Amino acid sequence: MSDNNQMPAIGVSMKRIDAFGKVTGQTPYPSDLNMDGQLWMKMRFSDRVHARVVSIDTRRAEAYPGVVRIFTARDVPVNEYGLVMKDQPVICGPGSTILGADVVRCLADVVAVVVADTEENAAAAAPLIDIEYQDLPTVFDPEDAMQDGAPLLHHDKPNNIIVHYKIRKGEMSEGWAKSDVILEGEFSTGYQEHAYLQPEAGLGYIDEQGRVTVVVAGQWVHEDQEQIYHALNLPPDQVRVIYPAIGGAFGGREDMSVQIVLALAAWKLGRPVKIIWSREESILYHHKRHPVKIRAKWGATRDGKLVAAEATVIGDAGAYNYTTNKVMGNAHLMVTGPYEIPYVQVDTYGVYTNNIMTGAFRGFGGPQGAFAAEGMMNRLAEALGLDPVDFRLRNVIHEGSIMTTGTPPPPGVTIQQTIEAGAIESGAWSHNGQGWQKSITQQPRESYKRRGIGFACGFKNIGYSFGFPEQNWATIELRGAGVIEEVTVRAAGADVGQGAHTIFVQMTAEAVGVPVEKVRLIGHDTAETQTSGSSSASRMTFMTGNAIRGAAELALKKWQDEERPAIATYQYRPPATTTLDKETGYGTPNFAYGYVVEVAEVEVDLETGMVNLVRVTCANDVGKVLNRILVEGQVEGAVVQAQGYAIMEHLVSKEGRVLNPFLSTYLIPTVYDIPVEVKSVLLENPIPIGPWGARGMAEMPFIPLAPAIASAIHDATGIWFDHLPFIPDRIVEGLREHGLGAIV
Amino acid sequence: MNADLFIPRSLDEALSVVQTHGAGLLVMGGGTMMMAHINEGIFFPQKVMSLARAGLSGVYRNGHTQIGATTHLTDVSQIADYPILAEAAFQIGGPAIRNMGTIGGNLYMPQPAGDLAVPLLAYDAHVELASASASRTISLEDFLAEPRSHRGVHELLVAVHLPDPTGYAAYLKLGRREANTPSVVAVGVRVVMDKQGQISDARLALGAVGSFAFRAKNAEAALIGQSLNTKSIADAAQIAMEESNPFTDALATAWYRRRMVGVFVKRTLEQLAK
Repeated sequence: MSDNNQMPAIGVSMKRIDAFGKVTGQTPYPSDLNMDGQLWMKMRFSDRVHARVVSIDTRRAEAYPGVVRIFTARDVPVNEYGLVMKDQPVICGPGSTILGADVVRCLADVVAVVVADTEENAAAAAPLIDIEYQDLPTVFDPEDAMQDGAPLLHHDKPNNIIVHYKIRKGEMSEGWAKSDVILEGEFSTGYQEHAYLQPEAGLGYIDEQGRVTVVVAGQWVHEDQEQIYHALNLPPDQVRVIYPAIGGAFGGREDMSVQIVLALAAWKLGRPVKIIWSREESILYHHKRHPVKIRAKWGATRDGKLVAAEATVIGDAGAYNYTTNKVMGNAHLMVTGPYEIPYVQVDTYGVYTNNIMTGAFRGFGGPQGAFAAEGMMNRLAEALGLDPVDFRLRNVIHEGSIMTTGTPPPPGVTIQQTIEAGAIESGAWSHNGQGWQKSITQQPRESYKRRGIGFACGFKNIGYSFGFPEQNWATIELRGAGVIEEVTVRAAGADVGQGAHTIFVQMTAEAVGVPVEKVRLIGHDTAETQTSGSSSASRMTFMTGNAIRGAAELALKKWQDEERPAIATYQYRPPATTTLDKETGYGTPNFAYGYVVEVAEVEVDLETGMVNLVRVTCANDVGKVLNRILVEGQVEGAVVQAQGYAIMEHLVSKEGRVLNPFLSTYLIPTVYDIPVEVKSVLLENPIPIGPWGARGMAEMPFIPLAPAIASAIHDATGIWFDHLPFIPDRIVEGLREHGLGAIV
Repeated sequence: MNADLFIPRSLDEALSVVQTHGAGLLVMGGGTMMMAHINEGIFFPQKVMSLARAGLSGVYRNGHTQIGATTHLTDVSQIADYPILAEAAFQIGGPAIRNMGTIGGNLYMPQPAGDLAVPLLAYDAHVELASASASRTISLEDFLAEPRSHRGVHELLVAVHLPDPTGYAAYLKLGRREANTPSVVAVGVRVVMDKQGQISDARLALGAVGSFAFRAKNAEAALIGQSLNTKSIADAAQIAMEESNPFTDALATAWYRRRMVGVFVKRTLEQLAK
């Protein structure tokens, strides 16, 4: 549709439209916004991990200077919320509209909300609320929680099991009989904190049209709106949600934090109310990545063909579902990797405990699944005496392969090409007539250091899975007389820092055929846009791109018919997905996949157990590079975040209490820790349903890094480490068990 | 909430504030630790005194070396005569922390922070404490070991005194990441060799493996009369491990910390052997 003389708007590293404002500090984030006459809020969180709130006495707090109002469970019209299941009270306590809302189930539950004239007064008054609890029995290990007789967190979920997914493909005894080599493994993964730059904050007020309005940072304005109007029992058009700049999200802003209570306070008081969480509050009170335990058993023939795979996957949901049922669904699909396996049996569980709740985080169950799948693949390759690249190429899925769900993958299956590109571009593998071969790793001079190189791959769905309604709206207005002078695009998709708004402008310019300078974006405000779904599941470029293309086509037709302005709205809906059959797992869970490979080089200090990630090659089939520098930024960011997950980040939780809620004790990588080189190898094999062929890509580079690092540590030391994170204590312990490491 | 804030313009003025307000007064050097706690709402002091303008900064040579209590870590990291002190200062925090943090404040940090005590113990540092009526100079070792309750509530640490350095010194810190991280263990050693290449005097200081930084005196004693060789180094490392009293926190287990004492005593002594 582009004019031939015009520079293409996509495929170029266009400067981000938000760059100038952000680097000069002019762009407001939620915590920067203030209004005349605003009040301040502090939330009083639970003191107990599991207890009935018997009574709440607010008299001492109400008497504190400056306190305007204290809200409790009694004040919430419909006291429940949750992205997928409304299983959490907005505020816990007696007198609630919802049965069971008087129980706190973890330390992140809210018991009261204080509004005062200043932040200091609200903070000083919050601890003065006297709460009487009646303790209930607690459970912290999901395997304990699944036992009969374990304390029950939610009465509609026997044995605390939120979900139990199954795969039953073939008769397993046949599979094991046909296998020459059978290996078993046990893996576990840890929590991860999102650690976005901007802690939760927001401002609630009544707008000029009388709407209850919340300015906040999230991932899906229309979902925030829905959660608010449900809890406040208001008509949808009486609630408005606006996102200013968003300081990172990574899945951590999918669920509610300050949204509903800000709306409640602004609505009841008729005045602006503001809250800013401290870093400690942010770490203590928003969800984490799921810790998962996986038991796996895989079998293969002597010539390197996978025959059978069995796995049990147990994820700790914490006290509420959040997105656990979806996250564990992904882990369920990915725990057997992008491979053709004739016989498969998988049981995956998401389980309530009294720990901090867990939910969405970049990769959404994929990293946990891949850690076990790739760990088993690398062990099997070793056991069979095969190169890990060769072994994978003998087993990867192709167009028409039957996946564990009994159905073929969506078109555009390129794991083979991605593996070949990753292996070659890493410089560590070469291909000769015989097959793939890994080069000898150069060893450091110090006798106590060893280097190793490891390999892993993965896949990840683009967009929502398992029949969850998937849609995205865009509106395009073309203004001018003879020629199009101004283009306005309305698209609600959240720019969480990844550069989505820049891509929307590029895609609009390309679709309409105008220079990017003519495009104006109206973004995340429920009063101005229709739903885009969330910025998650590597879906926003794909989904909004398709909506923009549809809207542009309709608007251009109106333009040709001389409508002025030419305005068109389009709803994009991708191919439908289905839930999985309860007994067999049969179904079509996803409509598109991205494929990814990572080669990691590490240096292990055998005495200290410190693992230094030296170099990473990431091959990622993104379908089409719409903005190279932004795509590479996503690769590098994902690699560093996954490095933290694999090696450094260690959230310590004891009996439901997070012991290191500060960035001085929960360590994430700094610029001194990151690899000297992250090589992004971007493959461009288009998928037919992608806008300009683009696939989503933002989660993919996270997924195989931890198993690639495990493989590299094995290459360096000869030892498999199966429990994330690879903190030095664990490495030293493992090395000592094998007689390696320090003399003392 | 409001606090009374005092910003004295001289030592005398500071001492008189301390004399008047005593125990309820929070004394701040650079505030790099306390302000973080205050900003996070962990506690809020009623009375605060900043020593930033009390004239206690600077490095002076006068027969020995005197470092004023509010000398910034950045300046400490440039003291060439005491290389492992400079090195330890440079490894603390990031530039912003080093530009605010002070040597005096660092000596009040609870473990595992407070790395400077380690090289200072290796250099036989003394600290000068003053009150409105008197002053006393005690060894850093005694100062660190002194229960807080025994310290005079009307006393201020005003300077660190260092004898001219002798021998050879080495310092290594293990953190969970490359920068801006508390110590898992910090080791400072200094040895003086006689003409035969045997150790005539040794200091071996350990940080982050006890309730305060301390000298591993049994390990020091074991080094006396030895040359630095594989066996003497391994013996000293083993003894230092036994002398340490490590704790578990979010960064490392006590089990791991104790083993790292061995590794880092070995590595520092091996540096000196080269």
